[in-house]
Amino acid sequence: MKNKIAFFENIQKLKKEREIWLWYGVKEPETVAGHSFRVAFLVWLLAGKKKLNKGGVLKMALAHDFCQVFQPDELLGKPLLSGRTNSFKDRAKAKEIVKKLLHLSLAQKKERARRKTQRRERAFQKFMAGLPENYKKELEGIWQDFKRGASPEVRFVVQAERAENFLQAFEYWARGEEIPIEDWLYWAEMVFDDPLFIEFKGAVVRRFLRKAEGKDEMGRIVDFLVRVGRLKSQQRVKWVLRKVNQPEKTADHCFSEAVAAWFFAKDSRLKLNSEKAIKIALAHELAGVFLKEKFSYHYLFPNLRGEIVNLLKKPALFSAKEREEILREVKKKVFVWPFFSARRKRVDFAKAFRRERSAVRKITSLLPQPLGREIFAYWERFGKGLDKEAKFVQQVDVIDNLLQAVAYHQKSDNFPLASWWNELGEKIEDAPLLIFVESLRRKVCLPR
Amino acid sequence: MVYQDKYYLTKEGLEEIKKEYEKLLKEKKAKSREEAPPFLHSEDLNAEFVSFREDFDYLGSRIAELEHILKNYELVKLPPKKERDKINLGARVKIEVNGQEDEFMIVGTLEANPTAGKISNESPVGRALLGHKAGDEVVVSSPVKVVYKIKTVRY
Repeated sequence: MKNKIAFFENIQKLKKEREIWLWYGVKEPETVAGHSFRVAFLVWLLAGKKKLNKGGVLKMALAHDFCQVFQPDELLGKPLLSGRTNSFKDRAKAKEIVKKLLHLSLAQKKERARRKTQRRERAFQKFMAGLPENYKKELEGIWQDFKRGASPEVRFVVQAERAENFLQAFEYWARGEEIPIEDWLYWAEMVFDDPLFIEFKGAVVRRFLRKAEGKDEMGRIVDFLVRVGRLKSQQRVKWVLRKVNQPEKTADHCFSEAVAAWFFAKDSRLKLNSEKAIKIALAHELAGVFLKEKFSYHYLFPNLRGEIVNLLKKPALFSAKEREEILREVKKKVFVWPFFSARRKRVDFAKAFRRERSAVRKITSLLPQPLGREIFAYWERFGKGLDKEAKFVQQVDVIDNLLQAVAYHQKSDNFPLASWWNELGEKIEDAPLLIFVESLRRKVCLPR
Repeated sequence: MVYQDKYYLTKEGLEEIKKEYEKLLKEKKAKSREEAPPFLHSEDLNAEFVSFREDFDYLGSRIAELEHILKNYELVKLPPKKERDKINLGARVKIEVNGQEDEFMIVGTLEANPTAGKISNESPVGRALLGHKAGDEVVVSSPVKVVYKIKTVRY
């Protein structure tokens, strides 16, 4: 069990900024987890167009960056550009390095790829060390597939990963970041060879360079993904109110929850369909694309509500002192969580559910119908707990929040954990999950 | 899975595929000699059986995939001497784009690895360059027109 806990704690570490964007000087870039979340969504949307193992590609998309727990994202050309700085903080040099990487000689490219593979291999083996046997076996299979790179599933996921990067580069460029978009276009002409992804690339370009909203199927998929991308920067209210520095984003949470659903579902006692569980976890926060996250305790702060909302929307509008004051008020109440009556919970839930349902209808209506309906159905399953996978993911949701809270607690002893343990008592019922939570409680609460 | 009609492979690429195929055949043989774990474990589906079955199925599908490649591959050969000035599969190409040099090799989809400088013949650049010679200027225009000046072609 100790190893299982370590695995999930490691997954939380993927909620760190992707280094590639820091080299481009992007402010507050996406995280590794956020990137993997949207790659998984992209794979979900496009895999239906090919005869592929759909559950398999979804898992590959989630796992493709696991090695980054122990390896920074894409150490840029360090071994090849000797004498140069390796810090992206020196903007002029960072720009030069990024530019140069596109124009290496064949021998340099080969050497760079060889070193990258070596580094990834070492990091992956470190990540795998001590994992439970059934976790290890599945991940080892995926890793070997990636190394060979020849199966149609791997080639599909690799192209999807590049497509997500390409889309993200355009999004940053559109918001005014210093992204050399002509370099990305040059790169894209070489790296996409699957007609489906060549079409995707075209749709991205049409949307951003020609400002044409998607009318055809691929254009609509791109529109949908752009909106889903908002979840990569949406800070979760529960952590903001607890003054967490660089808090987890909604997409980060969906990613770690999907991974947790995948691996917890491996327990044969639960008899679950892991693909379904992963899809429910990926879709469960889609309402956030159009709605600000609803904080269950908003009603406790009638006078502060406007300020809190503004603080969450535009933190820059508040001075450090004002921010402190608002959060101090919040903290006074948040440290003592009131319990809600069953009636209040029912009423609140029904209200929130209606609000979220119309938001999810709106976002899924962007997609071609069968896809939109499928995603809406997965979201609804979660909200209503319609089947055993949905009920299971509802429990995993609570555990994932707890794992994140534990990570913050480990960084700062002041971070309160009591409310998370209380929530577990109400919501977890599956025996394997209860056993996991109990082991986690012993690890966190007992003196070391 | 999606099967292609033809796979272009270099000699090294083919060797890799053959090696993997033989390794997987051995693994499958060893696995079929193993006794499968019982289907049920105290009235529940036995997790060990599920895992055994998954491994077996995976090996089977990968072997089928490799067999298909081995039946439908075409070896990328060195072109005849008079054709060696043209870009074909296996060519190492040096180009100049917007005053910057770049170098890569054109390979089949299965071996493509742009990070290592191996560009697929089915990528827009790969497609556009095939058949051209050193000195040619090739325009790749999707969506922005970019002129590729071919500097050298080597095999």
